[in-house]
Amino acid sequence: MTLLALVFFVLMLLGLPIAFAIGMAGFSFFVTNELMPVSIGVQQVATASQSFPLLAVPFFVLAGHMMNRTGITHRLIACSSVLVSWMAGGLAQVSIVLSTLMGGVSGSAVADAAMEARILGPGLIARGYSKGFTSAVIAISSLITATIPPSLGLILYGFVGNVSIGRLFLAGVVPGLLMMAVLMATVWAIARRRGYGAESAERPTLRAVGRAVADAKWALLFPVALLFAIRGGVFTPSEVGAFAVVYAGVVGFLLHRELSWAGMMEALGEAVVDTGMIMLIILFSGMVGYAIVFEQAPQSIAAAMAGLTREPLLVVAMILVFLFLAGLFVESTVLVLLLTPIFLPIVTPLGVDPVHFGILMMTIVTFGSMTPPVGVAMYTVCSLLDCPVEDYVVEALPFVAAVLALIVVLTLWPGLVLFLPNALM
Amino acid sequence: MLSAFVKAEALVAGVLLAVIVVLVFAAGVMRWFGYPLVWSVDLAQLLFVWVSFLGADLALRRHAHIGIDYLVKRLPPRARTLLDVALALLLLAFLLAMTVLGYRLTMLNLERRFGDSGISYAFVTSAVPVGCLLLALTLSGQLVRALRSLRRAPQPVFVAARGGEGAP
Repeated sequence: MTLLALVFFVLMLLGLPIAFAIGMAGFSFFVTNELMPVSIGVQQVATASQSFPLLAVPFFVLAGHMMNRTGITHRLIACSSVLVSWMAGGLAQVSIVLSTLMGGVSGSAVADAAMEARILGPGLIARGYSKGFTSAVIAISSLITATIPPSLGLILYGFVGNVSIGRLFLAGVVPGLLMMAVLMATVWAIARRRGYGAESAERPTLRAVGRAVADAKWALLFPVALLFAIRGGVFTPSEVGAFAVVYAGVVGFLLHRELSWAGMMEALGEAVVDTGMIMLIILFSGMVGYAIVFEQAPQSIAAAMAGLTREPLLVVAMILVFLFLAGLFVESTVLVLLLTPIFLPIVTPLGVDPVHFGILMMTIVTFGSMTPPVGVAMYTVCSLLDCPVEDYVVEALPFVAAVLALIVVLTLWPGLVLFLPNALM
Repeated sequence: MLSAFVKAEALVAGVLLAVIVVLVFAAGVMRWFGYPLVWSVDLAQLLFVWVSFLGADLALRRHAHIGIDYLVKRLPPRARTLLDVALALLLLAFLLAMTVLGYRLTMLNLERRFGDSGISYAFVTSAVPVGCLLLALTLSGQLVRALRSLRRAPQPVFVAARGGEGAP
C-alpha cells in the first residue's frame, strides 16, 4: 500500500497524466504482491467497466455537449439577466444565477466556469469590475454546479459508495440553492462597498420575468424532468442519463430547432473523448480499489481514527479537513473514486447518512479546483481572462470564507440536506 | 493512412455511444410498457468498455488526459522533454504488459458467458489488451515526435505542442 501511494504521487507530481499514474500505481501492487497473480489486476480493469450506474457518465457528458448546441445557454443568460441584474453588482449576480441554472444542465464545474469566463467575463471587466473579482466570482460560483442535479460527481460517488443516485440528486438541490444565496449575498456586500452598480435602475416587471422564464423553460424544466422521471419510476437513476440525451435531442431538434446533424456529430465526438478521459481513470482505479480492499485500508484508518475520537461530528470534521487539503492537490473525480471506499465505511457505522456525507464530500472536493495550487477551474478562468493568480486569490478570500461557512452549516444540520430526499423518496 | 484510421476510430466510438443510448433508453421505455428487454442493458455495458478505451485513445491523441504540470512546467524545455520521455518509456512498458496479460486473460475467458446473453465474456476482457495496445501505439508516435524535437525545440510528450492544437 505504501509503495502504491508512493508510485502514484511521484508519477503524478512528475506530470504523468493522472489516469496512467493510477494505473501504474495499482499495477505495482499486483506485481510486488506474492499472493496475488497479476492477471487479477487486469481482470479488475475489465470488471470496473461492468457496473450499470457507470453508464450515466457518457450519457450526462453527451447530454451536456448537446445542450451547448441547442441554444439553451443564451436563453439561460437572458433569463438570469432579467432576474438579478437590477441588484448591486448586477452582472456578477447574473454570473452566479447562471451557474445555478447551468448546473441543472451541464453537471461539470470546469465547463461552466470556462463558458462564463468566455461569455460574461469580458463584459464584467468592461463595466469596471476588477479582474480578480470577476475571475473569483466566475470560478467559485461554478461550485454550485457540483450539487445541483445532474451532477457527475454525485453519480460517481453513488456508484462507488453504492448510495441511491436519486436520493443524492434530490439532496443536492437545497445546498446548491443555499450556495447561490450565500455567494449572492457576498457579492452584494462587496458591490455596495465598492460601488459596483446595478445594470438597470428598476426591478423587472412580472411580465418581463415571465417572458424570460417562458423562453428558457425547456432548460429550466430539465432537472425537474429528470427528478420526476426517477421519482415516477419510469427510469432507474442509471437509465435516466439516456432519458437526458433524448430530452436534449428533442429540445435541440424539435423545440428550439437549433441543433443540426453536424452539431450532433460534434457533440458525439466530444462526448467520446471526455468519456474516454474519465473512464480510463475509473477503469485503472479498479486495480487500486481492489488493493485498498485487500489491504483493509478503511479498517486500519478507522482504527487509527477511533483512537482519537468516536464522536461522529469530529470524525466527519477530520475527514472533511483532510478532503479539503487533498482537494487542493488532487482532481475531484480521482478523490471521489479513491477515497469514497475508504471514508464511507468509516462514517456509516457512526450513524452518518451516506447521502449527507456525499453532498459534503462532493462540495469540498470540487472546491479544490477553485483554489491554488492546482485548481483547474481557477487556472481556466484566470488564463481566459488574463488575470494574475495573486489577484484572484485576494479577491476570492471572502467567497472562500462564505463557502466554508456554508459547509460548516450543512455539516451541523443534516436536515437541510436530507429533508428533500426524505420527503420525496 | 493514419488519419483514415483516426477518423474510423472516432466514427466507430461515436456510433457505439449512440447505440448505447438507444439500447438503455429502449430498455426503460419497454419496461414501462411491460415488455422488459433483458439483453439490451447487457449489450450496452459490453459496448461501453469498448467506447471507453477507444475514447481514451482519442483523448491521448489530443493530449486531453489531465495531469498536474504545476512542478514540471518550471523545468527548462530540454529537461522537461527528457523527463517526459523517461515517463513515456515506463508507461509504454506498463501498457505492453497490460496488453500481454490481457490477451492471456481473454483466452481464459473464452468459455465464460456474459450475463444471460450467451455472448462470451471475452468480448469484455479483450477490450483491455486491445485498448492498451492502441494507447501504446499512440504513445509511441508521440514519443518519437518528442525525441525528434530534442534536436531543435524540445516539446514535452504529455502536453500538446505549443503553437496550435496538438497534431493527432
